[in-house]
Amino acid sequence: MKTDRQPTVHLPEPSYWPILLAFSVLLIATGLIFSWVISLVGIPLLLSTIVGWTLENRARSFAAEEIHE
Amino acid sequence: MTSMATPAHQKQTLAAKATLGVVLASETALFGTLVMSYLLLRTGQAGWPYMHPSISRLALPVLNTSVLLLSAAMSWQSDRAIQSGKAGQLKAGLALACLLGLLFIAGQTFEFTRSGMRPDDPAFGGVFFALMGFHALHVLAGMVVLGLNLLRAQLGDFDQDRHTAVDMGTWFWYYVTAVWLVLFAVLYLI
Repeated sequence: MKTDRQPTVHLPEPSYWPILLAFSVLLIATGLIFSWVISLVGIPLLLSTIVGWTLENRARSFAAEEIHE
Repeated sequence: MTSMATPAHQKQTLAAKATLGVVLASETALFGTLVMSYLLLRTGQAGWPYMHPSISRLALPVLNTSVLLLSAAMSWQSDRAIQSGKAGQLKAGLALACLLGLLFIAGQTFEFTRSGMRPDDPAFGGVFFALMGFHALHVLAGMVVLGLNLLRAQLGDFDQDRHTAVDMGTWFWYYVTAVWLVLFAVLYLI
């Protein structure tokens, strides 16, 4: 049945943060096997990617809500 | 950004609750498996090769447990505060909950060093460290969530009607605390 107003679905937009986050986890795990120095590089990268991803989602979420309102 | 919760926002809240429920269910399966492995090894025929924790050794774990319970209380207080629109109390509560979580991790690290076990010990030490280590990782993850909520509170994202992320963070923190109470009973009291 066709209605006048089709429901819209808000999907996440493309982002580089997930792959950066995965890479930082890889660094931490690799450091556990080979050298803690590699983990030391991975930990700040992990935290910064989490913050970056959250702030990006926050901005997009507000923008999406304004469209839906 | 408006102050009233919109239908889109209510949908997001429902989705967040459902997602957290699935995550916590899978975490329960993980901890349940580890606890059963520990109990199996502890009560097995090979015998437990380490000293059973005595009352004198319980002081630090009890103190640590109190710190985590206090942290959960702070988290609860911060959630209640934002439900009444008190953003200042939210920030103070989240900051205190994070600090107490850090204190708990410091206590756990000290407990690791005096346990007499090593992570590379045969299965016995391995399962002890897996239990404690996975829980410590969950505490760290919870602290990241509380820290992010503190950052967002600082940016003015939360008010009386919009605080889903605070609710979810608080529930995750309750879960981490509840899991620790079970682990405390299993590792130190049984």
